[in-house]
Amino acid sequence: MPRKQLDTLTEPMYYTLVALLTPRCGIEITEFVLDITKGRVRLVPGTLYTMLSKFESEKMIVETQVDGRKRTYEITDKGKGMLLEEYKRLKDMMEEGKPWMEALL
Amino acid sequence: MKTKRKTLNFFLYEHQALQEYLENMAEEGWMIERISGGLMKILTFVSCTPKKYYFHLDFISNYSFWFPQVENKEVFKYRALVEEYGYTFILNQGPLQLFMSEEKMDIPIREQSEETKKELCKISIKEVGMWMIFGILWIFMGISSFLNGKYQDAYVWTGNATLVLDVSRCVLGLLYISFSFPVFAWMIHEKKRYSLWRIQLRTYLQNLSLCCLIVLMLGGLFNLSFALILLYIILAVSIINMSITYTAKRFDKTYKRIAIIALLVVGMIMGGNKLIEKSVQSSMLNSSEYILTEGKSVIPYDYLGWDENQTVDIRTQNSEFLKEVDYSYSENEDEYFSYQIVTVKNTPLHKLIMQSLTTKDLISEKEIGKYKVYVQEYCVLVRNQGTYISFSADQYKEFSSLQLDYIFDQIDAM
Repeated sequence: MPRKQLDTLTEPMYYTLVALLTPRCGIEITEFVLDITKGRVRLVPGTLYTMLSKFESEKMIVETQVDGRKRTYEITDKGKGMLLEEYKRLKDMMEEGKPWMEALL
Repeated sequence: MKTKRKTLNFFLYEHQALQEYLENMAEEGWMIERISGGLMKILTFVSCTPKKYYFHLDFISNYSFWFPQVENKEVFKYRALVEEYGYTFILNQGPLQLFMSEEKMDIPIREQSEETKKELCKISIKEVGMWMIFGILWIFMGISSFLNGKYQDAYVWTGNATLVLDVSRCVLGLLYISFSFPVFAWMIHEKKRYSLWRIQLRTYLQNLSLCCLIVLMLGGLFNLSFALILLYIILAVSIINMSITYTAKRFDKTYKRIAIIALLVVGMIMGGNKLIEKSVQSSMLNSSEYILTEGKSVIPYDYLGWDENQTVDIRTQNSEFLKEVDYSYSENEDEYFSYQIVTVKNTPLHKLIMQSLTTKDLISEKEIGKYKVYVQEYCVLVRNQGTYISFSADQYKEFSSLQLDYIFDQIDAM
């Protein structure tokens, strides 16, 4: 059975949801992700907007504050559930592949 | 505040070239104010203090094709988000969103990725797809009109405005479709960079072809053969102009002015086409006096190569063949008779009549020189030793010389 669009989170999606565990606005999300990934993942406004729209329409995040042009978002319980599911999936993948992958290192 | 308008038919994937163009203009003291149009875009600039600005072009997918200026709440949210990063919103036009910054930005608005290309492809197909549909409709209309047109029964097509208009419709359709070709080329093979001068050249060609078409359509309202000559002039002027421009690899004002003047002059000539045509044909016909080698007092339709079906246009005034059919009668009290004066529109028809008369066995060689055709004010009359025949729509009549003298007097008085 094919997976739904947000069943598996992409890397930028995953980090965006992680960033929104604390209420953040667009630029703050980008800075946070840049920081924790040590500059590896750069979320640009064009792609971030598309992601935030998708998340919002799926009720995975919610707009908490509007201050002029600045909009702050926060993850919802549904979003937390999906993020946790993804985290577990990634962790399982790590564990399952560990015996073979460690040998490669 | 001074304003300036420029045309630049760019596509969204050519954003780098557009950014470069806008930056050049800003450095020259012209700030972009508005972008309007569909496939053919008009850029409006206002004067500003010359300065180095950085322009950033982005796109949105949720916009209205029919009402590109109407925006929804989502677009405002998108803009607000981009502005959080330090960009300043300038304008929008359909999917296009233009931002500006005074400094070089560390974080771009969008990354160049496969995802971005997919989204751009969707928007581009939506954009050019509509224009392709319009193009196909134009071609369909042109062809269907051509197939149903009455002019297909005509013997001579010269001066057939409807035909020119139908052909023009098909050409317009093809132009619409051809305007979309660069998008498909980009989808198949994406280049690293799209140079500005190529876009400018493309814009120039597209605008010129549309202008030519418009002139042709206008010209077609008067006379096809004349319109074709003028089309050749336009093409010649354009090719010379373009070759100069292409060599120079720049689009100087002078070249543009030359092109505009050339088009205006040609347009004006087109306008005066009818007048010129009239005077030219009038002098040609007036000076003609054809001596026939064959002839007969009564000439049926078949001898002219026309059957009943083909003569439909002849009966119509202002048709391809005839300028005028004047039905009249004599006011002479002694002798009453009716007559028709057929006013031949153009030389080809006149020649056709002559040819038809000479190729049929209507007269022996001994009688050569006895038949003459008098042409006066477009009226064609064939004379046979004092008996004249007028070419009328319905029949060929014989008139006595007295009757003809009367008719000639009337023609002279016209």
